[in-house]
Amino acid sequence: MHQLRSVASGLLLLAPLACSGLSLPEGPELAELDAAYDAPEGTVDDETIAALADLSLSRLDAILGIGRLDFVTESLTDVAEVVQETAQGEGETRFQLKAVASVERQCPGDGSDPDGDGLLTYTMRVNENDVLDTVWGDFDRCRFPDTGETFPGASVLPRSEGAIVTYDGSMDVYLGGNLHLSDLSFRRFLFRLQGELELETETVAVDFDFRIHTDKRTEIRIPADGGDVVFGFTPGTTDVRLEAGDGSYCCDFAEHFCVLAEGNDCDALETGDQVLRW
Amino acid sequence: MVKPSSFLLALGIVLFSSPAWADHTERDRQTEVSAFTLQAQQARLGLLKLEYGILDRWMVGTYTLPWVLMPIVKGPILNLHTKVRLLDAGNFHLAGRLGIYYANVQNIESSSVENGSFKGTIVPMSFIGSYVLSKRWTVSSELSWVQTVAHGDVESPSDSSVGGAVGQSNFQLSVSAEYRFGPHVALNLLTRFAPYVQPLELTTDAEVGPDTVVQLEAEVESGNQNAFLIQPGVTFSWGIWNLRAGLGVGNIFIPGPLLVSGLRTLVPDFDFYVRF
Repeated sequence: MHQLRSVASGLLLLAPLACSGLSLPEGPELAELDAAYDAPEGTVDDETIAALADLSLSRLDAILGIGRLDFVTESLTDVAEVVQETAQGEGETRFQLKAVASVERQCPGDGSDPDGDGLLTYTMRVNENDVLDTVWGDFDRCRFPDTGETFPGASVLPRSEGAIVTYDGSMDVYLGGNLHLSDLSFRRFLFRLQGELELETETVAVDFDFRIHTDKRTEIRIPADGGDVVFGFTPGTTDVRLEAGDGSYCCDFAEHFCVLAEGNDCDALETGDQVLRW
Repeated sequence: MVKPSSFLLALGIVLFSSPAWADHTERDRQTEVSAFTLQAQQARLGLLKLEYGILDRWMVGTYTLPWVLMPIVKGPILNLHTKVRLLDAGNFHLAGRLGIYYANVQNIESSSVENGSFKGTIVPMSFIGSYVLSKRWTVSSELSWVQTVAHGDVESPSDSSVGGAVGQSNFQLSVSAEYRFGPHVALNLLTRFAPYVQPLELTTDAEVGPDTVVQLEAEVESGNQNAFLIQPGVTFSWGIWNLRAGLGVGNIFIPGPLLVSGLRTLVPDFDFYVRF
């Protein structure tokens, strides 16, 4: 009997030796910040709208200077596909994946010196076949060719098409919820940036967040009385959506007025019932 | 060149001149999931596996399917197992079983093997205890640890898949019972349970386009935690001829390497063999 006990205990000792332990990195999660975009609580009036609009335009200009970070959203999508392929293995769907993807992406630069274009590094996590919704990254002197795109008629920062814009700083990204590997699609990206943006003749501090949708609509959160308000910019138009705690507005930034919004878009902006002017 | 008639004659002499007929007897017991071994110089030649008793307590064997597959997959699949009866204490018997399976196959595709691609070594180790309760009843229990070693980087679960089962180390318990109606018929009941299946660890370095490098560290579970199998069956034995058949339900435990599939389904058991 003693012989039998020895055999059994020896066999059981083998099991712990084989235990593995991939631990997922932890850090600030952005789900709460994303929720702040959906339910802004700040208010706006004739006294404050001008400053808020100017600040939103300034931030939009910085965002357009770095190409709305299109190369980052493309990279996130590509890496997610790699993770998907690894997990599924030719149609196999029963696997449960836990993973950490460490990504190095060379920055776009201007093509003259790829080694000097800087580097974006970020970490994507997967747990139980779900891509976790927050990604953390860093830009190391990342160079972008300025596309020259601006809000119609209003470039606040010293920018010009083809000039090199350099961003050095951190990046947190919220990818949205319900990111199952079996049916993965990104509908929007929430970026939070902290760092410095070097333009041709000026260096500006960057410390803000914004949300990009797949149709390139860009939402920018601005602190206001009582909380935040969110400006929504659609490429190629001066009509801007403003979401505040006391209502939704459609604004014409060229004519400097806002009206109460009817419905979910600002396609038919009427001037008859202006409620905000600056 | 050996004439067919000579070969048949030789086979006949081998099969029918053996002194040890292998009906179910006190000495000739089933060796599947039991502590019993073939007797010295006794052979078991079956569709599923070939085994030979070197000593009364020591037998060696190999599974046939991997040898058949080798020309098809154009890669080596080597397998060998051995069982030693360690202890006979009255009605209690204890044996140890060790196997080694080495495979280096890529891109197997057939109706039964899904995306088979495997490069690794599997070493199942078992201790089996059998207790003869009566002339008709025998119960056995097996503790197994299956150690798998993947060679090189495994880049996806399919790289570590053998016929749909992922090459993961695991610990499993088996309990079997045999009820003999007589020397020719025995009922079998086999139950297997894998309470621990080690997650598969992957490391992938991938280039995504010309500008992106991804290093992926991952753990994969295959849905085979707490895998089980309940499989009743029957063995017919008439002289040297034996037929073993059964049908169970649960996860697939691949015979030999004892890898565990996450797929739960009806699981057949079949072997036709001669033992002499």
